[in-house]
Amino acid sequence: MRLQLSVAFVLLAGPAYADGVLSMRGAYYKERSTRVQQPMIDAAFEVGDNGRVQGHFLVDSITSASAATGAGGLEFTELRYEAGLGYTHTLPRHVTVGAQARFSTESDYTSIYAAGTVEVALFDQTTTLRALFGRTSDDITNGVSVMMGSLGTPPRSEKLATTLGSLGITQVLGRRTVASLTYDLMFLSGYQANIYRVVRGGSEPVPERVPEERLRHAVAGSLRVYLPTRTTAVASYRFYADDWGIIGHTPEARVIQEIVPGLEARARYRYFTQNQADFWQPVYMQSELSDPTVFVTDDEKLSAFTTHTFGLQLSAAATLIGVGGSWGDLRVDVMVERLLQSNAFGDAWVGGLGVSVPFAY
Amino acid sequence: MKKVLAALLLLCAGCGATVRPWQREDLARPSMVTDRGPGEERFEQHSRGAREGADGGTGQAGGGCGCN
Repeated sequence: MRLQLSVAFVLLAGPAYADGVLSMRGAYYKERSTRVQQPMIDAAFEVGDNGRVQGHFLVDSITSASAATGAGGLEFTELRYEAGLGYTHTLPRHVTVGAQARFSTESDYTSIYAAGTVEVALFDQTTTLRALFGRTSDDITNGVSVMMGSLGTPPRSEKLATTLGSLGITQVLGRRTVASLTYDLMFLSGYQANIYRVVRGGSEPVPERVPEERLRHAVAGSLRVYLPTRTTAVASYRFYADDWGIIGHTPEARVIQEIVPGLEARARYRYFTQNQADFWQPVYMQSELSDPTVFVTDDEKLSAFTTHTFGLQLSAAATLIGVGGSWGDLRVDVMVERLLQSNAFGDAWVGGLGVSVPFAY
Repeated sequence: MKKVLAALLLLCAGCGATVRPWQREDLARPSMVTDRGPGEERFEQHSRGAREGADGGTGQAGGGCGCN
């Protein structure tokens, strides 16, 4: 019995010291007709000598007066709950394998995502190759419309499946320089319109119609350099193309400056531009609206537009106010961003406040 | 394809040969690994996915909500 208790204690006790980090964050997004508030909690901690668990939980509170919410243009608040869990395990020869899953639910949308990952570090760990394969299964209904009491609104349900393949490489180029490149290939099959959105222009509005399949490619590269002024400079560029005819370009520059030990300031500028989908038009003719074989959409995301993002962030460690020991690694950050969007969504403000607490156990 | 991959690996081997493990103090700084937390990245990816038609390139799945 004593032996059994000893074995159980050893098994339960695990490693004497392991590291983890717990982060709590509140994010805010506000544009002309939509406001999003998102409290979230993230945790990551070591399990055994070679394992690491990551998890998160968040609540999305989306208040919108857009017709695309299904509330008939009235202001409506919807809650979305999301939970995610991932595990990575390091094997000999610098190989890391992992699995991740995510579940999201709201009144008219349920999504389940699962993925497997593998990462290999080569050449004295100066080169890291990554691969991910994942699949998402979504169930979509017109639940808000039915719930808001539109008398006689028949319930509808649709499905969407997304397959994602991703390859990436991170390369150390020098003592202070690292570059990375990622290629994502996504194939979507199923219902991709907004179930509530209608297209106007003719005598009678018609439900949005878009293709049921979409093949999306995205290539993103970044270069990260640490300068003797305690500055980290990051330059990145992303190219996107899909078979709906959309091509997008996203260059971005970020600077992270250590002001004094424990206090960092970050600044960013991001430019985004895309052309319109082949079938997107500002106005459709009646003959197009009434022909079920013609794709018609009122989705601003499929139009041609540009976005400029300017962001500032301050991050401070507890050591700054004289806190020592393990609590000295506690960090607080505050972030604000301004988005200038040239489409009907209008300009937006984004804010964030986060606290992260590293811990040992 | 195999030749391209082999050439890429050779190129990578050449790039990394001059940086030994004990010379990576600056590479190990948190800002050289990532300058954003997981929640921050996820929120941005999610809001961009709901507002931009040219989403992706992050090596992670987007979407998963009715905000399109």
